Amino acid sequence: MEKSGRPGIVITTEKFIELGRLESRALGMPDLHFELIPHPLGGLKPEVAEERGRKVADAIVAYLARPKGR
Amino acid sequence: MEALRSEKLSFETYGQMLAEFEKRGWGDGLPVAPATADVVAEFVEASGRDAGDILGDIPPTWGEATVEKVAINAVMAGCKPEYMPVILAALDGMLQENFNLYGLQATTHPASPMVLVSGPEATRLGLNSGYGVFGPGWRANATIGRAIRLILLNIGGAKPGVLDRSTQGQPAKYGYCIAENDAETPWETYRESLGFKREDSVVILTALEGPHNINDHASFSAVQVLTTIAGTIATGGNNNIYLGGDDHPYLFLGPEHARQISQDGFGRKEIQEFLFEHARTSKDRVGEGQWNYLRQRHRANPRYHELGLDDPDLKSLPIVTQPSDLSIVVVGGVGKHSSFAPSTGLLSKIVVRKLS
Repeated sequence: MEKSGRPGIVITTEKFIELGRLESRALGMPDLHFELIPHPLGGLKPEVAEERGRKVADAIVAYLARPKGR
Repeated sequence: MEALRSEKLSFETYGQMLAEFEKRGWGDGLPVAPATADVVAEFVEASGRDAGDILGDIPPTWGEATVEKVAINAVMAGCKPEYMPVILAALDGMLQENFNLYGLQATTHPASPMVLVSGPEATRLGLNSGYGVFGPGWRANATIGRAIRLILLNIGGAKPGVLDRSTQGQPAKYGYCIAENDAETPWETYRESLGFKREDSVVILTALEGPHNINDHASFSAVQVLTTIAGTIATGGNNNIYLGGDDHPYLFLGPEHARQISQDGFGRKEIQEFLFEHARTSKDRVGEGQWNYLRQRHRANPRYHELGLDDPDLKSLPIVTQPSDLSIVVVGGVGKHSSFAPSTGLLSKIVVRKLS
């Protein structure tokens, strides 16, 4: 998506951000946008996992709706 | 012959070379053999290919794997030049899309590529298929396995804790190369069961955990031995039960167990069917949350309803999706021991490469 010009967003836990950033650079997408959620994701009750998703939802919308060039 | 292109480094002592390698974060932590230009050239020549031939890009940093880079790592691992075709075949297999090397390199699961060489070439290269097959003592097993790991580390950049995110890793990540024990296989060989001829030599790549021993010195029949095996392999935390996928965990039958089982008329298919039926993870062996998750995952089984997995009162789940998903190979020496190595579940598929 990112490479085709549509903004892509990766949601990852904070423990995997280093892997994500290195990988995005290796694949030629150095500006790929990341939203972080607390680690771990496994072992959470569904309502807690959902809450973590909600917390980054606004940031995702704001990123996608940002004025061009920012 | 095409000239080598890699950067050359000079050191006054072996110790200085090791110190520089450590500083640069290269290697697996063990000392390496110096990859001098003349030795690397010898390895390239033994491969029958040009130094600059590109095999592909190795994740997660997508480093370009040329024959020269592979040869350098093979030299550093302590290989003999004649191992090069096996190493190149193994790497070619790992770079196939369905092997999913990126997933394997970056996963939190401990799986490592296992290189299984089957056929006359295994004997010619001196690969061990008998006593201590997973252990130390044979140069071919030790260094081919190590070369694969060095390639994944040095060219692929899968530095543990940085890009290789394996929670605990496993000893087999240092090297995981074995050969099939043809002479002690009471059925057609494993490669024949995959559609190859007995005279073929193949390299089979699969991503596995380390082998877990199955000791049964006391059973009197195939059913008794297989019941012990079923009870040992149906664990609650392996990736096969966890992801419910169709990739292949491995049952490594010791020759004595294999003979005992075959004497009662069991072939590969009968063993697979017996274990599919009896190797089931019980609800009372896993936590409630895990059980609910496992049940969800197994909905993806194409035979979900046919197998009765939709029963709300279900008490156990099969460790593989279908009987044929369990791979069976005979390895090892004398003694009543076998072993089982779970695979990654959905993550990675078996890939086979024929040696020319």
